[in-house]
Amino acid sequence: MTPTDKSARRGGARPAAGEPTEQAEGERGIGALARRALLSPEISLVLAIIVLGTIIQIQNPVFLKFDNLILVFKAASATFVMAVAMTFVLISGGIDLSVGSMSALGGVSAAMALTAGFPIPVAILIGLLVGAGIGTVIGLLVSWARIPALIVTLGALYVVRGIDLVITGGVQIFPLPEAYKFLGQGSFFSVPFLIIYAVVVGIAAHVALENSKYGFHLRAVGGNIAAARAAGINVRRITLSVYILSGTCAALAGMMISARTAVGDPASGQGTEIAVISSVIVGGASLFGAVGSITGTALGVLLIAIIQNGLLLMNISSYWQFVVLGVVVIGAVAIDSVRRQRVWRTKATT
Amino acid sequence: MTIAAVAGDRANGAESEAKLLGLRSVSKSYGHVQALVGVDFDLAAGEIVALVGDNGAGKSTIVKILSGVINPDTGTILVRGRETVFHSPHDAYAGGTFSVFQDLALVEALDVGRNVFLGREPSRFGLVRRRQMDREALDVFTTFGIKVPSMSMTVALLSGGQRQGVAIARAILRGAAAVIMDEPTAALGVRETAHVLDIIRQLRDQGRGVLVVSHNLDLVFDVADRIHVLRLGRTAGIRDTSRTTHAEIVHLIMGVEETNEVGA
Repeated sequence: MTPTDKSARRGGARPAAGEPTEQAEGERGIGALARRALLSPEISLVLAIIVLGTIIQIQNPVFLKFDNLILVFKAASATFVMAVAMTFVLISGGIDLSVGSMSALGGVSAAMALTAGFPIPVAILIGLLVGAGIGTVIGLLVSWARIPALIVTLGALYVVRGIDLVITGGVQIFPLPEAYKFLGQGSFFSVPFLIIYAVVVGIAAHVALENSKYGFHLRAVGGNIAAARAAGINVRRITLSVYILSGTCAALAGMMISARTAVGDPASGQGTEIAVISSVIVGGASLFGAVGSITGTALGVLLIAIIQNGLLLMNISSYWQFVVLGVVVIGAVAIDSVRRQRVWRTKATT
Repeated sequence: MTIAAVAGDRANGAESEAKLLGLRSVSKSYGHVQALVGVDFDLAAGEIVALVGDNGAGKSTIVKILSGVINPDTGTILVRGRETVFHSPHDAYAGGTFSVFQDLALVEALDVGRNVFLGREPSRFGLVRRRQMDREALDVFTTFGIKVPSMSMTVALLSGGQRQGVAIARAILRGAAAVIMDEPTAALGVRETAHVLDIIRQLRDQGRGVLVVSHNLDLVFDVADRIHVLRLGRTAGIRDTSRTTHAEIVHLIMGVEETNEVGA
């Protein structure tokens, strides 16, 4: 890049009022393409997925087979449902560490309702209501009692897991009705239902985030809570809503898992919250609020699912996956921090 | 949003229409500190009034009272000649007053269009009409000559003057009859300052009332029709810009002519 290019860009980024501004100046060529790729989390993720996919495919041609790809998506579906809600939580400027425990509780609640003889729709409703109810309590503690979300949800991680163990006695719940299992194991023209649920949740969330007034207000709350309040946005209601959404989605994910595995497992979902948050961060959402998208989250979840699948296909010990995931998360945040400095000219500090 | 408007309207109709905002014998104290003592203030449609005074003279207290952030201890607020109580900044909006504060209340991470319509997005069935939003915002930006690179650029990338422009556009789009600007040109360059002053004059020429709070007397003489000088929480004097001098205003601010003025 020539010095004139650089100065043109600097001049273009902070133009003086009253001057026509030409932002696009000096933005052509391969350098510009690389720059744009770096600046857009979605594009850098797609590139990462292509590179990784190529490597895996060379090592093991099974990777691009239809059945294997379906397996990857299916494994990612429950994580994605939780990650969608987590995207909303992070955009609002919060965090939810309780989703792993919540997914277990959602799964066993529905399973217990089923073994108690409730019809499937009622059992699912019970599972969702348990998630929404606990989400409401968390949301009220964060929005009204003003206890930091990190603390409330860290506590909830233990409390919810405890409730889950107490009501089940730590024992797995099975057998579950065939029809319930079908909801988790069946497929539509060889596309598993689980993937369909995830896609439906994803599309609904995308529209809510990018096109609805709610989504606009959510970003405002995460970006500048004082400005949002001054503009007449009901900040408490928005904050409350994301934790209800997160609890409900975690319960839904837990039921998806219990239907797939045909068992209500009180020990499931341990550590899931970290995997979910990692995926969302890799997907470009910011821990500091306002920034994030459902497409980014989808790609983040997919990238991590492909990494896990790739390690398996390349016969690398599954113990390595934690190392790899950790490196990916740190790398993603490092890229995000560079991105911030270039796009926002601010450092990610709180 | 409730406005407790007392219908006891003393002024005649036409005159009260022209008077957008007023204060009558307003006092406010913080503990032992008397921020305002029996201050009267008026802002009419189609005029620019500058509020000047030393630090602690009570300028920001008046701004906060007029924009509904705080309530006066005694005295009344008049909106179009009617006695009014603001319970919150929203009451002030509803009364047609919009305040552009120093910190501007913009969301840096969001783009220009979203910031202009923050909290008031045009929507149908809960879905935001983004195109309509950008079009209406662009209309205002064009009419007032407010220049920003694009509607989809994040505010974080804008200069100070452009941010002022976004905040002013928000006031216009909310149909504010009175606009309060607290240090509108603080930290702006020469060219940007001139641009913001142009916008302020356009607001006046459209028949809005503009209250400008500033330390910068050159700016005040450049743009204001009337200068309201505060000193130690009291009105030290009100002068038409065309019939006063820098020296006189400085004297009023410093209290040199206090002996002539006190007794108000």
